[in-house]
Amino acid sequence: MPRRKIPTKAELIQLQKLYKTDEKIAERLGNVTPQLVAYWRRKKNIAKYSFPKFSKHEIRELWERFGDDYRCGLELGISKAAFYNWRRKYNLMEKPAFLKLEQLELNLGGGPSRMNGRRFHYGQQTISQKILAERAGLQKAEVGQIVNVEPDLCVLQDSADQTIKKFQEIGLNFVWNPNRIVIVLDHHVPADSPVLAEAHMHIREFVKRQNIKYFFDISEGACHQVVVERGQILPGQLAVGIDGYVTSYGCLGAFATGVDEAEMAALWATGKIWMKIPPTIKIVVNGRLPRGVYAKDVILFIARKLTSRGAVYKAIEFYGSVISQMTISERFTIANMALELGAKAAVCSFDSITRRYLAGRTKMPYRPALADKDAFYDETYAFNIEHLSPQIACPDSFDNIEAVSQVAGLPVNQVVIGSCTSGRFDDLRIAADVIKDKKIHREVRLLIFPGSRAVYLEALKKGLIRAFVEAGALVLSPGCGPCLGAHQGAVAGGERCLTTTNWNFGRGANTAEAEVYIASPATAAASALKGVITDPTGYVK
Amino acid sequence: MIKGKVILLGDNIRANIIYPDKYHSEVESAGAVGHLFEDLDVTVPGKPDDPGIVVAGENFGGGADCGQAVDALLAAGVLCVVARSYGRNFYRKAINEALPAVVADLVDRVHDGDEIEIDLRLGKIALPNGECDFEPFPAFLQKVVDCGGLMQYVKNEISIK
Repeated sequence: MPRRKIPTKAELIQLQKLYKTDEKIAERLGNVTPQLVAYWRRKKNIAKYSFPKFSKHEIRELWERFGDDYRCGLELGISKAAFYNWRRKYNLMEKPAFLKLEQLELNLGGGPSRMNGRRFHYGQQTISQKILAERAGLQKAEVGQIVNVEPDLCVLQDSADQTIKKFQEIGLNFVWNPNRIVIVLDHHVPADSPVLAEAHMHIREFVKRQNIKYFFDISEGACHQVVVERGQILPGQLAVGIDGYVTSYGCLGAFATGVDEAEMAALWATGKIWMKIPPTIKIVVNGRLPRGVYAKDVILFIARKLTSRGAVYKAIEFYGSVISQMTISERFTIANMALELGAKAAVCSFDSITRRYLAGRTKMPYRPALADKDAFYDETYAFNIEHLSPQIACPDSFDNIEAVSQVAGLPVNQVVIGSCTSGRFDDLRIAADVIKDKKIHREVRLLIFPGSRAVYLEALKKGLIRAFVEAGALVLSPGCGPCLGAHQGAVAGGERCLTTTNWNFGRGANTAEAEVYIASPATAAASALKGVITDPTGYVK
Repeated sequence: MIKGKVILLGDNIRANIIYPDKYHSEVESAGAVGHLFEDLDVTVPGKPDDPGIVVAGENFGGGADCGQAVDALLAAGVLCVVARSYGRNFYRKAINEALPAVVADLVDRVHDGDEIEIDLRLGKIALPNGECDFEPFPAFLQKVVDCGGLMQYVKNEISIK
């Protein structure tokens, strides 16, 4: 058996700060008894952690004011369970007959909105304001205010290696909360050079050392798809990620935004990160999706109207009959691509579709955040998409979006269907329905890469993969594949590539000089059949 | 208290205008400062050859890859940036690297080369002709700026005495 490493005094103090009791520390270290931890503590002259004490008066005041363990706990800086124990000790088991402060506000009009009779906030708050305010332990957050928040989830991919280096530079041995860190290897998978293989190795070692439970190795798929389909992120939560497309989690009613490696390392050390409360744009999409028009076309159309700077440093909330009838997969596409409008975050409001989606995926309780009726929006846009035609983003920028019919007939060399943006089962099914029992054009290379292993498996079971391979497509492994231009699927200068991924500038789609077009899986599939950019309306049922 | 000469710029000074992409590899070198604002039209006055305070309009430092822009500004001795709005990445990066980025609209109120004085704690800017208020940083962010950046701040926070 390997010799057990005894933590240093500094390490023990840090652990105690994070985990409080000997039992919790022992659990964190694994393979150690609480008695041993206590022994180390005594040897190193560290006092037992003393929990803060609260008077009956204090507890009753708070309980009568908020009537919610979580909210009261926040006020005192203790957990929900801890507050419950305190009020049990003082025999305050009944819900207060009426909440002092809330009642007052209600009488004044425009008072707090309530969810399930538990969560409340003062009026005029958007979803983003509520989520950020709650994570900062505040009742209300003003637009423009800077708050220090504790996120529910940190999502990293291959570049976790850099974060780990920065974290080690800080000089700490333990991350603040290993259960809130998700690492998915998806960008360079399988590793295409010894340098990257080494980076992956460092990440695996770190994961083991830190007991990070939610680590997904190279075979699992693109990080955002994995996080959403496994219910790692929940409505009303706050997530930060290294990859900007973390905004996707808005499909479940979460607030998610990108940060850089150094900030992530600082967050691992302290558990806190600063955020500026963004103004919110409300986008209402009404009507009914016409035949051949999908979520991808809707968000491309919105980007066309708002331009690529339309939501810079702002949050977006999506509403309207089209959004409320969309599946989570379709909302995913919308929230994912909102980043192309410059958005800090994009949120679709929680509803019964979200609840059903999560039902089989998580057992964790969650509390959704909904916008107040009188929430203040910076701008509001309403679209009716009754007569929308399929849309396509033309090369180099999202300010260059046209109807597919405008550019139809341009020959394409490569078509790519997949990624976290449009690589879920229903995207693949749309493409397969178009391609099934046909052959793709002989001058087109068709690459398919499912968003995740789960999507891949389902597509295998339902025969989609067979349909693709029979038609002449090349099916790649799940992950980021050609999307970010890291490896696989490069396009030569002067070639034209049509893809369902999410960016067409810089190195997007692994190309320097090629033209990259972005469109829906249906448009991509129809174009692969014809060899030229094709409006899919005649090809879909 | 920050005191310096105004370097007045306009709207939409994106990160790659502050410091052009093509010199990214040279940002550590002494010549980097010379490339700052290199591509700007000559009609925009005031290349920062002596330390100062950058005053700009909308969307200062927009776009990706802002790290080098912040580094180059710091290397040029810029003490503070005052703009109407910022690109998100730039804003975060600047504050985390201890370059205070203040949100205020001064473009029409100052001239190039004016001497202004900024009090970060009180949220006040003294102009040659008057005064301007802005929302000061919360205490923890002020600390980040004071101790020379996020990394140093975290090191201070966790150091066990």
